[in-house]
Amino acid sequence: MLITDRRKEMPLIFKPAFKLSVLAVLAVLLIGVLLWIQGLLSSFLIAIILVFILSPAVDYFERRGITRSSAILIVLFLILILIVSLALYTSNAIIGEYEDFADQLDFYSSMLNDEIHRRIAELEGKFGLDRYEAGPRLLNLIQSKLKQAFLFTGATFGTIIFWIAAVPLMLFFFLLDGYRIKRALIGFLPNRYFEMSLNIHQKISHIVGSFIRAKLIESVVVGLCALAGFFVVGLVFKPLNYAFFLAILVGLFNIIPYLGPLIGTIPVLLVAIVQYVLLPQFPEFSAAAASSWAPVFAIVGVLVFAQVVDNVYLIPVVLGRSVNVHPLIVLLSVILGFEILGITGMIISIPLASIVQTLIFEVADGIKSLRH
Amino acid sequence: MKRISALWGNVLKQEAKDRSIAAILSRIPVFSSLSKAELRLIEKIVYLRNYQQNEVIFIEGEPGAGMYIIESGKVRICLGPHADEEHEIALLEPGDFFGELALIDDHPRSATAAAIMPTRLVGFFRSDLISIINRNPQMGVKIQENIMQILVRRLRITDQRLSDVCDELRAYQEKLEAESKAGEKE
Repeated sequence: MLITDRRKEMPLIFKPAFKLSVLAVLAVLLIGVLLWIQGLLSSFLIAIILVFILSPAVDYFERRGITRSSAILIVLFLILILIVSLALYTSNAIIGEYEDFADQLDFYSSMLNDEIHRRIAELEGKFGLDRYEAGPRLLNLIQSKLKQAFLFTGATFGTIIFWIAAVPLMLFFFLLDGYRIKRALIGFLPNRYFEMSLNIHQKISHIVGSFIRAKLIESVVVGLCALAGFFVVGLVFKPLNYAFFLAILVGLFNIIPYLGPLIGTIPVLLVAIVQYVLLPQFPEFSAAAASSWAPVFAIVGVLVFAQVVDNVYLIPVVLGRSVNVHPLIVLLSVILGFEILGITGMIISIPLASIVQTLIFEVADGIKSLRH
Repeated sequence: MKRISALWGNVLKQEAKDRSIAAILSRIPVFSSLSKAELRLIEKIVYLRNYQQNEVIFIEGEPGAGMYIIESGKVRICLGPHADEEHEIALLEPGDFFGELALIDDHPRSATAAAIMPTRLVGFFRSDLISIINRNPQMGVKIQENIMQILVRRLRITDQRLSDVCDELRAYQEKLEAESKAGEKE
């Protein structure tokens, strides 16, 4: 008997082509439903990312002899307590800073914009050039996009309410029955692809799980480094405005590899340059303080220090062997994520990109290693 | 009669009476030390797979995912990619198990397995074992201990066979030396 010999008269439901077609139809239907109901797709994706982050915590409580459903409830309850206490103790500061920042962002950008226009006009006068409109237009475009990114305006109030309602439910369901869903899906695959799918699932869970958890740790540590640095700079010079909110932005954007640290630097530099260099030139806006670049350089130093800590100490330890996402995939997914969901889309696009990248590589490897 | 491979032959075979999944699992050395409650958990985790006559289960060289237990039917284990009688190293029957080394790592399969008649297999896989270790370490340790015992037993059998082959080779070498000495005298 040759390995390619297969019985021809197998019932329809056992035929690989039939099974694969049913799975494809189900996948298309699922995507259709997710796209059809607004907010459902993003809730679904956020819940999947949270499953990777919270699974070890649920497993931890389950190891102590608690049933899985109770373990999930304990973890969700602890997160609720964390969110409520954060909201109680820091929301005034952070939300106050956010509101101020949102109010002042236009003013800050226009100050910087005017300064840049003035410098361009000087250069034009110096070299006798015609008015070059593309530069300011590009600047305006970047400003409007960045404003949308930094102020979280990509997600509407309705979407956020939908997340609050849908994400915990989905999360509970995925944490409790994720195993059964996986078992049903893999169990339905034809015998030929069955073992390959199990191997791929195991690798994806491991690689993506460690990647997402590592990114979370990285973002928290970098955010804290930035916050500590801003306070030190504030002690030496004048305290940086919106330090809490800016440190959160630095930490959040750090989730995006390669581009994130650069994007996170923009609002910090904007505030620092306007606050320490431009505003002191107008006594009507600011208390008497000398215009100085020194605090700006110190803030840049803080951000560079946070990146050094991240790249030299954190990444080798926490990211370790988990595969990083390819720069091209990062760029594409960030653009796509931003277009769909603004800043939330940019940030959740990275763990999703890691899932897609690992899936593609592992399926390609799995098919290569199939010998029949 | 064919020589049964130490790796693939069921060196721990027992008589099967009860044919329920839990009973089948309890007779498999990998799960033999588990309590009834633990066996019921395993019963929910395992996959039941149906194979047609002549359908390949896995092929030598493919990364392994886990072990199989035969609930009904027969499975032929062969060396090389062809699952024919010529390359057969073991013929397994209901209650027998194979592929348990893949519970340890995804090292390529060391033989090919194919169903020689309509066969129903119970599959237990590495990802499930890892999940058990994470969620219920006590049960995980019991299973791992059982796997270790199987490996030790197989290692001892292989060791014994190697020692037998060495003895045979030594005897053959002595015989050859004696023959060559006798030839020189003549």
